[in-house]
Amino acid sequence: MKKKLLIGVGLIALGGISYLAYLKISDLGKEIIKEDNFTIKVDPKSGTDVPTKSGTDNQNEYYDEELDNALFGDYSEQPSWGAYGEYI
Amino acid sequence: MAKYSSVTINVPDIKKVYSYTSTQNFSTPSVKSGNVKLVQNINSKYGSIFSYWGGIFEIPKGILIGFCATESAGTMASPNRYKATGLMQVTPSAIYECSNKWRSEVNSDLPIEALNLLKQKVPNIFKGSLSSVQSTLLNLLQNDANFNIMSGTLVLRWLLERFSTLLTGGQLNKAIIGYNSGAYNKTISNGTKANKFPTDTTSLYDNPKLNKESRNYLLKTLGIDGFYSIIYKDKTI
Repeated sequence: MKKKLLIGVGLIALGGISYLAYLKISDLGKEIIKEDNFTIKVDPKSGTDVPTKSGTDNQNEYYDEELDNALFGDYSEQPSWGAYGEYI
Repeated sequence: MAKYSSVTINVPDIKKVYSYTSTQNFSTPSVKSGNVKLVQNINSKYGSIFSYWGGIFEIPKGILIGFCATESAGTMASPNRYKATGLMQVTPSAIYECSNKWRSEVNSDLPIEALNLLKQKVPNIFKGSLSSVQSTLLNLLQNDANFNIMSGTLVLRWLLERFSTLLTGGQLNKAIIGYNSGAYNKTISNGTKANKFPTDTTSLYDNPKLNKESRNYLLKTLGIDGFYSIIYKDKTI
């Protein structure tokens, strides 16, 4: 029982260390700016536009304007903070 | 010692460029140079006010200027049909709600500087209903840049705390959606309850329930050559 517990703790520790190492590696080459309580990690490479699920335009492949309008209204029709006005 | 949740962001945080026509996007040189001038103009006109309120609410000036550029292009715009007003496009309901419900999301008192300004300019804000103070708030939001910037900064900090977890700190991507389309937008909240589960910006962008304007807001700020790239990568201010 004790051995299993030790193995479990060891695996969790290994997972944690791996995650921290991943974070460190993913920050390699980035400029780290600290301002107020913000940390801004700037990737100096210019970056290229890559397709997300939404393809090359600004709309999701699942995006359905009719559905969007039905759910939220045309954005220009959408009140913002009053949308769920019972909270106000 | 910091009073509020820390925030970590990547610049850019989504590998897409905001496009508004098939040939014009934020990486188009003429568009990019226009955006550089825009953030520089905002900084030269209002930079000291952004620094002041940013210091109080622990939000960097550059982050606030990115919101101002996206929201109003640095103009003291008249209220739109939903009463979003001025530089930071704050609505009376947003500032009323966030100041009255500050403690429901934030683990400290409203900063004394903001509390004093609110009480001085809108004496009934903590006593009366929204409708009783709405016209006063609208007038201030439209004509008083200091009040408008304080309000936008207060709302943003409230949102960052609302979407804060121990693991992530404040989640700026969700705060952006909340700022643009309301704190109770269905992609970030279940009714009035915040959905705090950490979500990366690309997944938020791809959420089919997210309205188009908020999707584009993520690109304008956190996309390639978005305002935060211009400000923090290209160091234009």
